[in-house]
Amino acid sequence: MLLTLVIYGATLACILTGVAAITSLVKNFAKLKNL
Amino acid sequence: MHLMDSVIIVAYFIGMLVIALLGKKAKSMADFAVGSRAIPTMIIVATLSATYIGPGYSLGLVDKAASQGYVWYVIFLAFSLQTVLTGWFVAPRLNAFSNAYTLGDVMGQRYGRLVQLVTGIMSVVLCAGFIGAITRAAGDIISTLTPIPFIAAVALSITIVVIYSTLGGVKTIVITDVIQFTVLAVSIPLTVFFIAGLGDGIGTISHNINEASLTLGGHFSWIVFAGLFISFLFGEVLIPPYANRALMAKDQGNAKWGFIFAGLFSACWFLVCATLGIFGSELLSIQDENNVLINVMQQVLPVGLFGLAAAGIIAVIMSSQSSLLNAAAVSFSQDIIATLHTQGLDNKKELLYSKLLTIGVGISAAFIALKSDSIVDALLVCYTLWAPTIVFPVIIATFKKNAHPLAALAAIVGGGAATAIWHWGLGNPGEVPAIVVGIAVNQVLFWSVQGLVGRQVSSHSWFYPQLPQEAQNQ
Repeated sequence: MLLTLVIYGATLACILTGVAAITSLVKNFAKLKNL
Repeated sequence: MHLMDSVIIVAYFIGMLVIALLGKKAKSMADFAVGSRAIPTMIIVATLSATYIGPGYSLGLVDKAASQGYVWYVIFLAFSLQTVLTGWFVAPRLNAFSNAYTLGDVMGQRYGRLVQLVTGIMSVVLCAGFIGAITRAAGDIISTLTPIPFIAAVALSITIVVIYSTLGGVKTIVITDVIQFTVLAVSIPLTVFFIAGLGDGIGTISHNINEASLTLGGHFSWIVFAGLFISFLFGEVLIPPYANRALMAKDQGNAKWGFIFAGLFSACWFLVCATLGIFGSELLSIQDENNVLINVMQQVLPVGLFGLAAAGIIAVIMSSQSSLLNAAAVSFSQDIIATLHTQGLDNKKELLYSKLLTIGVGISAAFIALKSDSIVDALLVCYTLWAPTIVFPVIIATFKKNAHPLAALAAIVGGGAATAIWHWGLGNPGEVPAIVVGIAVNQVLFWSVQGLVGRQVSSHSWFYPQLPQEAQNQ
């Protein structure tokens, strides 16, 4: 059960990091594009 | 493959090209090489992760775990540990070299032009070897995933990567890396939830992992296990595209946390990959040991989502190719051409060289990947030599202002020679990995020579530190 939770936690962490990255890109896109 | 999945993959390729063409073109070397040093933490996490996750750190781990279980997860964790430690101790110090475009520049600013040249040659050959290997894998993977034939798959992936890497330099690479990172970090882990849905929900996972796959030492002797762990711990420390991420961060704090979070992300990513491999072999009984991840995705993902996950695998390939290509081209022009050019190169000329080299290295790597496995293997010799030669002198360069050029040179030559003799000459006696012997010799030589000549200042131009004011103030 603990292993299951760890695996689900890691899976969710990956997905959330992906979402956080694209959010950060959207926020900084104008700045990055025009550097 | 279903039509909808094919449409998603084609749309993905076109989307990458459009984003690249929309970006502002690189106008200076600072733009092309380090994105004007303005990249925030979360984007460093994404671009660094997209770079280190190549075919080996995704499909390769899935295949290994499918045959031997979670022991490979523990071995891969050495890389996560290394990335966190690099973030904590070294990345902020590298970022303080605010005039540096490459790792070679950092070496040059501490140890002089000769050490910069040697670092440049090692960097270019290492990156070219990686690009060749990844391009070869790209052909295999894309032709397995899609109806595109092998040669066309190689040509397509490298053409798109060369176009966007040449136009905008590392800034466009960073933007595309973030998009590629999001696609891979969301689509591939989603497969875990679909596997769980095959049986009794959340319980499926723990019920279907057998005891053997949890045995850590069962598949190797402990010395082999320790050797693999050490190789993963030191093998890729600060290879050029990773070091460039530290140099391009907005400030020292962004460099530090970018690396630390990327290391933590890798620990989660590797667990997902290992789990997918174990499920592939145990729950789905996949026999093909070479394409477990693709087989798992084909069996469990619905139409549409398979297309997205396939795009995720293509993202794994292209994001690593582009970062390596940029690092090779910039290192070639900055550490080799500019260092050999006694009058120095003006910025515009160097930018032009970097762009031409991006095209040249990309096309040659694709050609080599198609024509000769042995050339790729020969180029990858530098991978074995990287840690025992460059890594420790560069770390010392970030900590010690009076590290002597001769100490670094002796460490690089001695560490490289010891590794070559131990690995290729003696065949790794006692199963002790060459990387351990090489690093030990590298450090003994560095500190011995430093002790002997540390107080003397060389006046020869090849051994005179090219130290700008900013680096001295760190």
